[in-house]
Amino acid sequence: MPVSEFQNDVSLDTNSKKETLTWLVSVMADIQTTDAEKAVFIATYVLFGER
Amino acid sequence: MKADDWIDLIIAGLVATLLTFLEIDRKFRFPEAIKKRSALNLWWWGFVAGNAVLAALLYPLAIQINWIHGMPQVIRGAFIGAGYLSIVRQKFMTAPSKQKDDDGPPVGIEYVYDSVKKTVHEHINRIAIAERTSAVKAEIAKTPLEQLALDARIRISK
Repeated sequence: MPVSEFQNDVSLDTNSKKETLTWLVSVMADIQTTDAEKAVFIATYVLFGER
Repeated sequence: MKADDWIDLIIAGLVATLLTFLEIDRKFRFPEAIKKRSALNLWWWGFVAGNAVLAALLYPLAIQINWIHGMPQVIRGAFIGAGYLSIVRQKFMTAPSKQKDDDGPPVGIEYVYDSVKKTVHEHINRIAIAERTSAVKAEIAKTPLEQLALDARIRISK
């Protein structure tokens, strides 16, 4: 069964890379979000490619 | 059934297996380490096998349709394997109606199929959520936020 944390890995096109990078920066810069919440968002992206 | 029909029946089952597998595989994501792998395998492969059996069981029904019967061997099996869900959605009979002029509502096995599919997907989803939550918690516990952000940055650039 192909249950892998990398199964959603596909090369992002340039626009998607920009969008995702903007998302990452905004998450890290958001002062209303706690570090624990930021960690959840980013770990979810790192593990499953979802945001 | 002739030997050719058995080959087509097996092909229909295999195509249905592949399509069902791909459908589930696209829909659910799991971490690499899964605690409830046995339960997941049971629901996942049970449903895949069930679809294969269903396609095979519907083969004799589909083969009675002239234009399907006239198709070349192998292609006929693959076609039925790919199209068995539309056969499932056919209404085979009508329920009795109180009014004389009305034939009543159409009855098929679609409702049963959809109910089973929904239940199986819910069970798989429940396992997926639990496993993903555990994986995220474990990742957060062992990796500082700055490192996670760096990992995400690397992933984006790949």
